[in-house]
Amino acid sequence: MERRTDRRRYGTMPGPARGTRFSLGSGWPPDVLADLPRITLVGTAELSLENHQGLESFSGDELRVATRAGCARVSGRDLVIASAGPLEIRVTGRILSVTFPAPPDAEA
Amino acid sequence: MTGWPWASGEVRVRALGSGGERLINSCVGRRIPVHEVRRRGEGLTFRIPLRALRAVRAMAREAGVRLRLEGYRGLPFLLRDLRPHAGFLVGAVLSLLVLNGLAAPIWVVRVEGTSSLPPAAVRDAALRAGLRPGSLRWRLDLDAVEGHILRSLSELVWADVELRGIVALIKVAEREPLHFLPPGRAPGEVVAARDGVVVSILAVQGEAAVSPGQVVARGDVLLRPPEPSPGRMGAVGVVWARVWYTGQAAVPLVWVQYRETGRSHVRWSLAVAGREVISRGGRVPFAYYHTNRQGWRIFGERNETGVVELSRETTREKERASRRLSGEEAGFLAERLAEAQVAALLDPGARIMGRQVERVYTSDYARVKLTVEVLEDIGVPRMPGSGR
Repeated sequence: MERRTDRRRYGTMPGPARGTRFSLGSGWPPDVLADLPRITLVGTAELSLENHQGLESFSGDELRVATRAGCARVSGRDLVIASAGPLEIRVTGRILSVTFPAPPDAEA
Repeated sequence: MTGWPWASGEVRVRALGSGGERLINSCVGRRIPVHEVRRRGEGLTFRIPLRALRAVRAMAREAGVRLRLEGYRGLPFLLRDLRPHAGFLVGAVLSLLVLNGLAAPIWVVRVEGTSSLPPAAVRDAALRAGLRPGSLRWRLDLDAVEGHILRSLSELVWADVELRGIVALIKVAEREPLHFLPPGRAPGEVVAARDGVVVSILAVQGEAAVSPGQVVARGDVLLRPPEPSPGRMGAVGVVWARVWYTGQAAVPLVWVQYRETGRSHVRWSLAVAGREVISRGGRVPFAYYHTNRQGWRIFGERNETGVVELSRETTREKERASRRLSGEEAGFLAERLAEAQVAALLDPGARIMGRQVERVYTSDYARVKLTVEVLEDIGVPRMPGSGR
């Protein structure tokens, strides 16, 4: 019964779901085991996004970054990508929100 | 931009076309650091290292993006700009080298803190330890120089060498001279703290300068330090002596006291330039009283001619109460007062051997003179510089 609940909760995500489930049981952080994004926000002026999978689009008001948890959308004003590297993207400016797409079952 | 990016050079490029994000992903994928990505109109501007420019151009062609160079900065570009002025560059480098070379040796040796010792003696001692004008800074062992100076000059108790640019500053402290001692007196003696008659002497260290039964005055030498090192070792011992203390007090036979009655009177006044112009409250209606005055400056500064001041005087009435004491009562009170005077003078270790009270009565007062004889240790070490 419990296993079915887990599948419903994590089944919408492809690969990472398995790692996430294991990490929740093992005590290891999911961002390490399942390569999930780790987002650090310093006030509203700086955001650091680790474990990304590349830039999707960027304008002064919005940044979309591909991650294993879906496309992360950072919106704000006067956004600048201070640095972009294979491990981390650092964004400065006035950050207003960080959102991820809702899973399909939540939308239903 | 600081450090390595500046040293290796950076270029600012503008990627025109819709594939700007793809180009940045390609750069990131090939571990080319990308900085300060901004959206400007249709294109993206960003900074990349100079060494990666060729590779980024190739990637831009693949991504269908036109790359335009917008700016550059860093050491390679600075050197390129300075190449026509090579002479200036060489001159600047030579100046730095000359300046560094001139600052390497010590040019001046300065001495501070001497009073009786000539500074030249300290400079000579430093010279023998290797510190002299012309010595190279990095070859000097300052601890060794300080140690050598102290060993060479017995007049010094402390030395410190500090390098301030091309100046070597030697700070020294001389041994405290002993010229303040009175003639015929050596440090470390035990002297009498007060007048008395010596009863017994116990010299633990040093030798007795007085004998039992001898009358001594304050400051007389009681114990002398042991020979042959009078300056290094002090005398130690106990000198018991009989000492007399006197206390005197007088108490009037009519004892007057003033007590507050609880009645009070308030008077307000306004003064201009120290002269009272308005007042409220009138005269004080009491025979005996105590007045408190509070003032507030309304205008002007203190000691100014046009100062305006408001003041409030609170007067509290007192009544006079007198009581006539008997001669016995007044004498008793005077004796207690005299005892308190003597007690304040006694050492904690003093033993009271006897007391004598003289009472004198006049028409107004009872006077008491109390003399207390005690046995106490009157020896105190005379510290250098105490003057005793």
